[in-house]
Amino acid sequence: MNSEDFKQQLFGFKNKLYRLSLRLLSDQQEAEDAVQETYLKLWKMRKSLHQYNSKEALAMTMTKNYCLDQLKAKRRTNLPLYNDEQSSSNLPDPHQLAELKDDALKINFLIDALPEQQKIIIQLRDVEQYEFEEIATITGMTLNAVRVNLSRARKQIRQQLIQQHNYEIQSY
Amino acid sequence: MKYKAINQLIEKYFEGLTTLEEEALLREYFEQEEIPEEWQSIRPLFKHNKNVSLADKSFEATFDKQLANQKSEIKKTFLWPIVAAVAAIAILFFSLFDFNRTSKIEDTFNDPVEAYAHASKALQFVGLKLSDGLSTTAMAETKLDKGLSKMEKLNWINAGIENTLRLGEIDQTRNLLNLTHKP
Repeated sequence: MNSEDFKQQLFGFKNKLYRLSLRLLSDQQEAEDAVQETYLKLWKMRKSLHQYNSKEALAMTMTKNYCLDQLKAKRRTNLPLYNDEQSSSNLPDPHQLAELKDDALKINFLIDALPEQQKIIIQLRDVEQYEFEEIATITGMTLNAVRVNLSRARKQIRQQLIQQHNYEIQSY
Repeated sequence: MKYKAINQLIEKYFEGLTTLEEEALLREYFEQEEIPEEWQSIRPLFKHNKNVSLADKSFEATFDKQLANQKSEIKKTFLWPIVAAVAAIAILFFSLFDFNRTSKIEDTFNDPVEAYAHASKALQFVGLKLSDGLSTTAMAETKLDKGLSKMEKLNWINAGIENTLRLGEIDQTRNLLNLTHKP
């Protein structure tokens, strides 16, 4: 496989990798680096790529793992007291949410406040529209765990949206 | 679509039980302007932004550069052993060549008597220089001896130390005194 074939076969889903990285790392440059890193790894293993049913799922998994590693390293250096997984989700500020008039901005803001696993799952399902089986492969979770986490994430976002909505009605 | 059907889909959606087709229906439904008041608030859930993307050309250029870097790294690692092997062979070759050349020593004298005279003259010269050298070392030796004899005076210090050790006897006598006072 030469580099042109490689790009033709695998560059089709690069923006999906990028959006997932951006979701997790919240930095455009770091997100692009993550995608580059994934493609370089895929290039090194190009001779064994045929063994994988879905190269896209493989690439997604590699990108996800890379981003989570980056976040772990960052947390270790910046916030030594921050070792609880769940504490990485901070509740969104309702005043900040109120300022966002655009629906897409609102939903982005609320997803960013979710715990990492839920963030990944809602990104893969509601933004990229992957099947549950694919999400299970990428996250290494069971189908049921994927559904449970997705449901939690959606309900959490709904709760914030309703609160915000009621607050706006009251202020009129 | 009927209110009831949509309501059911929304409920399923929050339980994580909708299929991709059903979710597409919901997105389509929330596209329209007229939706009941109770669903207004959850509309953003069906309005995800998928337009975020990489700049194709610069991304590809960066990737090509990375691949090029990799290839040159591989070349470098392959090249070094070859360079080393060539250098080793060259050194071996030249040393053999050199050895062959120096091993053929030509005689400088035809008459053995003349050669003997020259050789003994040279050796005498070496002997002279050697005895010169030895006389200076002999001088150094006598100076060293003088130094060592002065060092012997340091024995006085030893004697002093022995005297101070006797001070320990004072301690012993004090202990004896203590013992006799106790009862």
